[in-house]
Amino acid sequence: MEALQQLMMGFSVAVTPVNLLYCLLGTIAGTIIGALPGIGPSAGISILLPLTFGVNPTSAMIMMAGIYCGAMYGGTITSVLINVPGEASSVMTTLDGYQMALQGRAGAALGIAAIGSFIAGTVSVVLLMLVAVPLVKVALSFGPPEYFALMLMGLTTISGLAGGSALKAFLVTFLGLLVSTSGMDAFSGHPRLTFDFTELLDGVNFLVVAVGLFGIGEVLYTAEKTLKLEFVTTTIKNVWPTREDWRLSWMPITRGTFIGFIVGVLPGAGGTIASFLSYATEKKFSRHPERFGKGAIEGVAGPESANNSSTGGAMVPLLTLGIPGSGTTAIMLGALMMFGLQPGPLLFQKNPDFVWGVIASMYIGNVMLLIMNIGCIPLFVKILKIPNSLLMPLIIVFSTVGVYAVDNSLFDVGLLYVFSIVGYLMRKFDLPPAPLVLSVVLGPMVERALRQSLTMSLGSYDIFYTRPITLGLLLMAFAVILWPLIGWIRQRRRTGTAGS
Amino acid sequence: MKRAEQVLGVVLLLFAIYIGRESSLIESGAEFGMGPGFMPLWLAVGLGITSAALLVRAVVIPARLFDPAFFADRAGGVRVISLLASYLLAILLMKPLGMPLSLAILTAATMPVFGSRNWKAIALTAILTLFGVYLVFGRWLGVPLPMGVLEEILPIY
Repeated sequence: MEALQQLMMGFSVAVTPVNLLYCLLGTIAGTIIGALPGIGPSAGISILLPLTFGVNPTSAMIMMAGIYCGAMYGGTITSVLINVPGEASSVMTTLDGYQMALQGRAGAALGIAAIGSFIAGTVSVVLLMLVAVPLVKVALSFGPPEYFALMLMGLTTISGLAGGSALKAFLVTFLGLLVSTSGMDAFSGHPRLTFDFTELLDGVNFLVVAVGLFGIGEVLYTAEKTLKLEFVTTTIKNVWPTREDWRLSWMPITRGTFIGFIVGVLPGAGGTIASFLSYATEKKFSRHPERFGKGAIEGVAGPESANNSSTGGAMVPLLTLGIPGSGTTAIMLGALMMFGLQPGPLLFQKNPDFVWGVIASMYIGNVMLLIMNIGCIPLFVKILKIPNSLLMPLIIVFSTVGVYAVDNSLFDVGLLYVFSIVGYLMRKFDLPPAPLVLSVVLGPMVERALRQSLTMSLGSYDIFYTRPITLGLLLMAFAVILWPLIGWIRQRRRTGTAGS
Repeated sequence: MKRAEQVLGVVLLLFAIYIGRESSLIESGAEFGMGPGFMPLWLAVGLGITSAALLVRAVVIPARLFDPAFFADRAGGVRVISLLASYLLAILLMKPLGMPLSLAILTAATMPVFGSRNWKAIALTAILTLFGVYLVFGRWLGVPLPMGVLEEILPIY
């Protein structure tokens, strides 16, 4: 009941003309960003963030949430029409979505994806509301040791679940945390790792790192690959699903919604893993698994619902605990701090209009996205035809001026280009970028919580194992660290047994 | 890529050692618990261990499991290097020529890298970049852009 009253108040914030405009801009930009291969929501938010400077934080966050949700919708368009995922969480959609397009059913694939996304996105916001309120009450009892353990768990989980090599993910996490320690120490005022650059006394701004890695770094990678997009030559018609399509899709949409939300809440998992899990689940539940990969509509409905539902899930730790679980939400957290807000349970008490305004805008955003993705698909397809020779310089220009605008510093622009090289090399060496951004954002908070905890305990480390929640979270963090090692040892043993 | 990954491991290991040495010069203890040097020192140790593991992995894993070369093809490598050179040029020109003009030059230099050969379109886009950056960021959003040689012609305030 309390949540419902707060939501009504949130709607009164979200429906103001300015906030509706930012919601619309965010959803349009997000759909375009999601549709363009190589630019994901992380890049989109970090590149467009400077446009919100001078805007009130609620409108800025509404726009960022719109981009995040919109990117999940937009990724489908490229997956279905050109067999290239617009962003990572749409990879599974290429398998059956593209096959449907080849069979002349591109409209049905895009339609069911949009409707499934709408249902999942809306339900995930309801779940976000239901979970957030009790979680905030628990989180209010957390002290610095619990926060330290929670952030450590977030960092280890995102490294453990980043996909690919866990070793590389942990390496990147250490690198990101080191970057975050650069600058003047907040407690003693001692300069650290500034390499005699006075510009580094304030530390490295997270936006420089995020835009460098996801924005200009991606431009460098695209320059090497020069992706050529080839569209399926089909007219997009019959977007509204048939009775048979509904019959086949309603359960995948339902399952995808819940899978997506749960996976979204977990740190490091996000839309990509949610869509993978959903696809695997649908194939397992199907009476005709042989249809998967050949144009099964369930293979589009489930994963697309799951990746949209994960956005609501990902907002749970961000808004209630102030701890992001992915690269995108890490950028959102950094942005909130730039706007002078401290995300966490107190945000619900101190700035209820902000929190509930953003939650309400996510409902509105999902309606806008449904209308856009049912009615304006041909328009988005046209936008996809913008050549890279125009799009890439535009990204460079926006990124450069945007980063300069944060502190009016040319040094930051130089640092941006350095991080773009780092981002390019990370792509080449298969090093995941999300843990780097997350650790740059969380690093100062981790250190502060650790030092506050030790001050509380007069320097004794007992504080970390005498408090049950802290101990539990730390054990979980260690389990995530040890898991890849155990897996590796077991694999070696198995190989050894097979060999002998 | 096997050799490249070995080089990466060595570079990161050396970086970790350097950071560790720098951090050891900062006080790592305090009255209660840890001082300013504590975190960087232990993070450098963590980075050192993981980079050493990466190096060992790159030595042990057979070469056939890596991509054959760093750049997939020569042309791709040339494009990346051209782009990096353009960034460097833009940074060097940003103060004397101003941000809008240097970004216009960067745009003109970048478009051919991505396949544009239409010089009229390149020139038009570069001019639009110059005025677009000035009007949107400088005038509308009020960002105090460095204007360099254009300061008198296109004032920000």
